[in-house]
Amino acid sequence: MRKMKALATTASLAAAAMLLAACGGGTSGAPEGGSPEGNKDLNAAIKAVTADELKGTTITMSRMFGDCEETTQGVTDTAKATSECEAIQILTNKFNAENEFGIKIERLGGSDWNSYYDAFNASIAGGEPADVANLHDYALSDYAKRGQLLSFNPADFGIEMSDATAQAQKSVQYDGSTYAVPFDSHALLWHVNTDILEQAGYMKDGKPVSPTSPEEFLQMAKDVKEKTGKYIMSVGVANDDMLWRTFFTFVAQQGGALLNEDGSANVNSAEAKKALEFINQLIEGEYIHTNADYAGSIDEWKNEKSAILANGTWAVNEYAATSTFGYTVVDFPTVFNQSAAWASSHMWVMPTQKDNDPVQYRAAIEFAKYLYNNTDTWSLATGHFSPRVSVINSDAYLNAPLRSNYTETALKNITFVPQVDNWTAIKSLIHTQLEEVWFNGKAIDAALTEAQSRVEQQTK
Amino acid sequence: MATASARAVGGKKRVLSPSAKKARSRNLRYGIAFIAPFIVLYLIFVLYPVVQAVQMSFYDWDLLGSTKEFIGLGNYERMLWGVNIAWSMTHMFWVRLGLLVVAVLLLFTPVKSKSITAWRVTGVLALVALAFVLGFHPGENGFWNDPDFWVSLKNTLYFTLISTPIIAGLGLIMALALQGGRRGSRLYQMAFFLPYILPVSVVTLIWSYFLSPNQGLLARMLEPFGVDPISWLANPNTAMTAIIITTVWWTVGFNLVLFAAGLQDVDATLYEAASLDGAGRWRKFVSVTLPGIQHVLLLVMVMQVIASFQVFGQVNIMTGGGPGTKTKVLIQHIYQTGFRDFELGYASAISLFLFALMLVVSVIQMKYLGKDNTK
Amino acid sequence: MSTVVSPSRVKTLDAPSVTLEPRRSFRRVSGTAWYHIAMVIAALVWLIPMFWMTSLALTDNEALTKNTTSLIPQDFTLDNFLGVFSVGLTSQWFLNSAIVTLGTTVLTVFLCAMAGYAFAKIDFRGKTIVYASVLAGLMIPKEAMFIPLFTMFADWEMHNTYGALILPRIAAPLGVFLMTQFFSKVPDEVEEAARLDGAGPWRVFFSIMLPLARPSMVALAIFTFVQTWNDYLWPLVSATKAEMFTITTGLASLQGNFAQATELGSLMARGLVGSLPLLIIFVLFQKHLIRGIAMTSGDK
Repeated sequence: MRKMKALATTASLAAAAMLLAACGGGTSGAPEGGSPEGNKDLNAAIKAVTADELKGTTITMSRMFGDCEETTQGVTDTAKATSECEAIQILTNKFNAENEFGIKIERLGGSDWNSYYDAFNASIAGGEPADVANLHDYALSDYAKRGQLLSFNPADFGIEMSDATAQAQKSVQYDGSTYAVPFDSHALLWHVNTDILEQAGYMKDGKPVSPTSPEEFLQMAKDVKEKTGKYIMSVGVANDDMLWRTFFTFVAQQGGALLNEDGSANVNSAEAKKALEFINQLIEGEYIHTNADYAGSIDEWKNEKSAILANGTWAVNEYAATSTFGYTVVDFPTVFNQSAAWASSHMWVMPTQKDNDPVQYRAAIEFAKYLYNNTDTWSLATGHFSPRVSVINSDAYLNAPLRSNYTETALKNITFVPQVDNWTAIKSLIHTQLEEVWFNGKAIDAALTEAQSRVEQQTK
Repeated sequence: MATASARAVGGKKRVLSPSAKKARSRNLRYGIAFIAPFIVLYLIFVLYPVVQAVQMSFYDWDLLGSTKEFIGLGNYERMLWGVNIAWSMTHMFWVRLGLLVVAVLLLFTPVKSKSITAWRVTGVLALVALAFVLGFHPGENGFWNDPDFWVSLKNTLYFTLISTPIIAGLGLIMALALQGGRRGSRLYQMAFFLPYILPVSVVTLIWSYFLSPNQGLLARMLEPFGVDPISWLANPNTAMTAIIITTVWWTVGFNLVLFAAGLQDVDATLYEAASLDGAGRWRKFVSVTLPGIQHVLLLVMVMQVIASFQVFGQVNIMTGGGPGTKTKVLIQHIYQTGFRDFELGYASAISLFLFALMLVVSVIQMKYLGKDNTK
Repeated sequence: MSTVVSPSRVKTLDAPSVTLEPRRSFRRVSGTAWYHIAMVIAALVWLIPMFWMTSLALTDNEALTKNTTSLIPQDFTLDNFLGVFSVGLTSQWFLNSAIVTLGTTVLTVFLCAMAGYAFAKIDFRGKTIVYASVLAGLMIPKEAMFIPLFTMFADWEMHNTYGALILPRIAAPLGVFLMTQFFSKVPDEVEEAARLDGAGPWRVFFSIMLPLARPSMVALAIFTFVQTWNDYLWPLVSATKAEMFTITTGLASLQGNFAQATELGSLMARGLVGSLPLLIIFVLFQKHLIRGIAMTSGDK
């Protein structure tokens, strides 16, 4: 009896709540700044903002690259940067201290790139995105197509986009409009412990001898293992993309691609199969292993348990400064018939705001412009490639330590991930299947077949 | 005086005197005034979200876009169905056989006594239905629409099934060791309870480093025993174990306290009687302690199951669900679907699935605890 | 859910309940000694991770780049603790947590006490139904329903406010259940005596019932405090600005950068400071906290 009553109550309450729901309405849509019509006026207004209006504006910034306030508080000397995080933090400090408009940058949140997007999405959906934020090239379309980014004409604000490389110019566009300011591009490299390679007999004239075929790679791995007892390569696999990037590189080195020109799936290809088989050979021979995350792979290599670390351009300066053994960096070896290395890029965007305040937008653009004008500092302090032709050709850049070791990558090998709609989702579908192979021993053919069908379903 | 009569009237009698009527409306006024602040918040922040989730689950509801498209049961189909799904007798055969055996066993007593309760009918039907449903699996070249959902469901159940007995068992052992109010036992209890009050991010901070193969203390402590450093969190075979160990350390103290309270309720004279009968420690434990703390044991289990179904923080911070999807759990899948993949509608559908799952647990809890209550 | 907590189960824990079997005294002494040795070792082992954390927090960051596996600080320093409040946002997070936690706790206890009093002591039409529906709320998983809550606060443009962090957590069915349990055990005579003096329900509630209910309220308060201080998922999605993080989400955000965590000692110091209020509460109110847990065991 009592139960019946309780049931009836719950039902009536649910009905009441339904009524409430009906009144509630929907969630917020995209702010007007994202729509093309309103955009013209807005752009004009942003352009018209004067230096006086900008005085003392405070804008917020969200970025990846982590936290390092302890070592950078009050530092404005970019030469002191020893890592990506310190470099961007010091650049920000410098802007705060020196910009002519008195604009102040406040950082919104801190995270590594892995959880960065979750927090960034939550901040947009919550209605308070940062005024300026950084993104990877492949993520731009996710936000641009939803009208969440301000489109602008770089020339209006004195941003010399013509100085950017062709790839960089293309990467900041979506559907014919510019949505971002390029900051860098980065690629996969080999960070080498020369002491271990010396011991294994793979140093010649002070330079590492890179393999040029899968067979040579395996032989080298075997030699390193037999002569030194170490792994040939440390690579982040758990919650990390480094082995995925290696796979991507091997596919590209055979002239393959995971998506066709028209954007359709091409995952189940001979190239992908060969790449996976080769990686499996390395794992089975215990020349590399899959039990490390990003930090673990670095630790392992730093503790001299492996000869080489597969990691990106971003760590070159850091390792050069902190390694306790002979360190050098080289191009990721070309073991198939074409040179290629996985690459992506960072850029700065201005998320659309509810109030569409031209002054805030302008301040954000000024900061993005400043960062674009300082890509030399950024690339010299980290190891990244600058997106600007003038920087790449500058003496300071060419003469910077170790840079000459990976000019091949910069000029020839660099192979960007496809900039298509939903790349994050597509990549995740393929990556999941690769992890099935690496962690659960799934057959390569089965994994590629499933990845192919899933990507087809996604891109349909 | 008036109140007393009003109470009596409100209780049983149906004929109302004018003064009682007045008191009744006065009571209604006060009753509403007292519960209103709570009820308003309760309706808005506890009940309404459930309704809203149901509504959202029928939509393709983008986190960042303004488009909301009604897709009916599309999200549910995505969650529970796939491409080329087949049904076969042999898939997960032993599990399903086990379910059917349990269903038959449940029918044993009713058949003998020739009466059956509605509860039991429901239970038996549910088991049979589950045994049937588990026969579905991806056929040739087929796959689930969202394999991560099944993986995270499996991981959540695995986490629950492994961690619950360990936490309950260890809590009980600790409580037994502290039983009897010896001097200092309070201090020991404090020590074991202490980790429970730490915020989840502090627990993960400690354990991520404690377990680290290169920097961690554990690897160093195991070194003398010839154990090579294990990268607990990055190794697909040990990641879930590491999460469970962390969770046990964090939460066992809570259950220790519950058991300690339960043990005090056990009638001391029963122990004496058992001693007189010459019962040993084990015998006393089985025939006096266990029955005496039955309700606490059940309670701990149920609470643990409910908490485990909602595990999120330690996984999200320590492994992010990886390696691969080895430690991905349901709440994390909901979080990622909603906030990484922008799909709030689908995320709501998974939320409701979790809700339904927990409802089943709660109903079982109600049933058993209710029984315990009438005892 | 409908389990009624028997008063005896809520009693304090240090009262001896099992008489020890008679043994000869020397055996007993040595037995007790062994017991204590075993328990002390067990407790120390249990707390090793925390000792280690403390040791790291007291060690210079530079020294930690070489050796992190010592239980005794190698290069003793207090800098890490001093840095907690001078560098970064930790002090802001601390303040946020304090405001959110205190706000939630006070409002929860007060609103639950009011509702509990009404459900237990005022007879009004529809009471049973409303009470039953409140109890039904116990079955709604707090963590699973964050998506609709998120869109709701987004519509109200209320994310990144204290209100967003506090409001959804106040209406705790468990609290109402506990307070109703408590008030229904208060004899009617207490109330009637006051009524005879002409006191209305409000006065009865504030001047008689609330003081009476203090032990239960303290237990509920401490329980709520611990839960709120440790809340992770909701602050994670709602507070996206670093200055609105709570200590729990803030510390989690710092751990995103394990690879870059060169300041391990300072990270650990932040963790310790972040747990400090709970440690203090624990030491001061240990009895109440444990009592609160024993009480909540009435439900889930």
